[in-house]
Amino acid sequence: METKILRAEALVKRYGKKEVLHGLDVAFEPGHIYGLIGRNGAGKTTLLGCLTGQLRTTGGMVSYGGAPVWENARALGEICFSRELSPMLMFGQNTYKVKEYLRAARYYYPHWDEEYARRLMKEFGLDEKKRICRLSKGMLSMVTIVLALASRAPVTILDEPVAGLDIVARERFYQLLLEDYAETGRTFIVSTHILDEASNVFEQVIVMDDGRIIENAPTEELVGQFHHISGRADEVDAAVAGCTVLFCEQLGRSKAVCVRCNDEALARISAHDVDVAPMNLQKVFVALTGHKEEDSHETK
Amino acid sequence: MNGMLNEQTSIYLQIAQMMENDILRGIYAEEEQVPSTNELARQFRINPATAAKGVNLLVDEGVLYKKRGIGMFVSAGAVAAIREKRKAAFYEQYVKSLVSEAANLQITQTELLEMIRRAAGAQ
Amino acid sequence: MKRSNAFVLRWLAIQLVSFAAVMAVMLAAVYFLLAPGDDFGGGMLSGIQSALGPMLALMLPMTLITGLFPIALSFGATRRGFFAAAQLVKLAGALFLPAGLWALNALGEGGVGFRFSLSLCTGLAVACMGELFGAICLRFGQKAMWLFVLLCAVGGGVLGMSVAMAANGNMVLAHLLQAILRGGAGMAVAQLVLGAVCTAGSWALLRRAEA
Repeated sequence: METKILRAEALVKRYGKKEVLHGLDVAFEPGHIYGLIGRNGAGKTTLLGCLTGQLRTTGGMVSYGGAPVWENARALGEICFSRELSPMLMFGQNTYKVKEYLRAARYYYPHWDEEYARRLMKEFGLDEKKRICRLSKGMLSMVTIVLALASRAPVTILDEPVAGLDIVARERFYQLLLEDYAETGRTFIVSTHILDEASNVFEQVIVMDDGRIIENAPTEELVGQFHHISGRADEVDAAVAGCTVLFCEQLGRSKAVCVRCNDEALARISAHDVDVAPMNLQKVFVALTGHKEEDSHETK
Repeated sequence: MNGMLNEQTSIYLQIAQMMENDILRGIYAEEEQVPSTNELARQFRINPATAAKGVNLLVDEGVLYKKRGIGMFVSAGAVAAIREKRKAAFYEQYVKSLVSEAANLQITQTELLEMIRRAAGAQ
Repeated sequence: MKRSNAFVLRWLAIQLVSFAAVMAVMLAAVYFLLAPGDDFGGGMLSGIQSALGPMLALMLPMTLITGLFPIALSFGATRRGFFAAAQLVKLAGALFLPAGLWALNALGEGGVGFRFSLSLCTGLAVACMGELFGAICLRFGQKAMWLFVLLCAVGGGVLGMSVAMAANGNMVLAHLLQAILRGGAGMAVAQLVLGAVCTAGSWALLRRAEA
């Protein structure tokens, strides 16, 4: 079993004077489902573009199986980057018909599974004769998904695959993803900012904020470090003294905070008369990226 | 295994717990095969690694055992083993919080014991 | 390398087939709608044929770069591999120029001195310019696009005028081509150098293109 790791080291990306990726280090090991989460503009698509040799890197290195990715046909044949399709691109894929677009993909993905593509298109009700620029948002997402899944590429990257989908379609997508993963065990990297159903599917989650990777850990491990503490303000303050507090909300005498701490600290907190509740990935994400510097502080 | 996952505890713990409940209920008899990690992952829409973690927990405790190339099976004596384990945890999980909540509501010990007797009688 | 080759060649085949179909329809229309031997019709035909060669030599590589390259890149094509395949397309496009002239000769119109090698050089130069145009449009986007539209309008106007003049017996475009082709070896070399410079420019723009 080959262990080709897709790796970025000290990755820097600048557009003119503006630096959008500030020295990232990340490694994707084969055979896992990764979630790359971040707000709009955090740099997820830029990172993925650099990882797949589609964007030039300003500094640092991107390698796959030890060899650089840039202009490396062998590496690129094993990586599928299915990005968000926009109906309004000036040059490129928007004037294509779905049929032609997917037919073109066959030339570049040696493991392409045509029968699988047909099955998926039928299930999604995709009309292959339609032009991409005329597809609805939901259909655009589905084309992205068909491309990614049917490519059967050892490393498959999906950029915002569920952006245009309603909840029923989203659940179906995750089901398909898990089925494919169970069958092929290939590496999936899914970048998204919609988190509700995604969190159970991602084995490892990478959180990006403002061009930096702020967290990179197994999902359960990360989420398990955060707790929601609420109760009477003075009790809460006493309980969380010395812990990293991420945000706090106060309403009259009641106060709620989010802390990040280990099990030992949690035991101490629980000894107080406060309610301790777990957080989910979505809440952890908001706590990590949604609040500005002023809200987070270390209590003495 | 038809429960729903909640956000209160780790997913893998819930998987393990659900499987234990099903064994206690007789849904899976001893020496019978249980769903594979892929089947569990599919049903609950979770990552197979998470499902595997839950299953492995039960394997480590001796509740399940693995038959190479076939799958996971319920160990002999699993029902008794699960009961023992839960009995031991009963004090920590239920009794302590019962007593502390009663104290919160200022229920006296006598009243509490009376309530317990009443509930036991109704059983 | 191989992946882009297959992809590009298939595209080329489709373009050529559709072009041939369109040409056949157009020629048939002209021949059947106008009485044979009609000066006006015959002149227009040669006018069109003179214009078509250079136009196709220009358009084929250009549309390859603006239409196909972005998609190929998004699928993981190497820029090197695609550019190599693009050279084949330029050659095919360049061949249109001598082919057009041959057709003119065969129809006995225009009396243009036809020399394959020299007209091929012209074709190559024009094709390289087309490729460069495509690369510029990709790199500089909207502004370059409008500039090109403007050039097309002007060029189209000039071409249209030449065709109209040809219809009236004034074979200005054919004469222009003749002048270029009569330029001999010196002209050929100049065209090849122009082609090489354009190709270098295209590669400079495309080798670091971003998807």
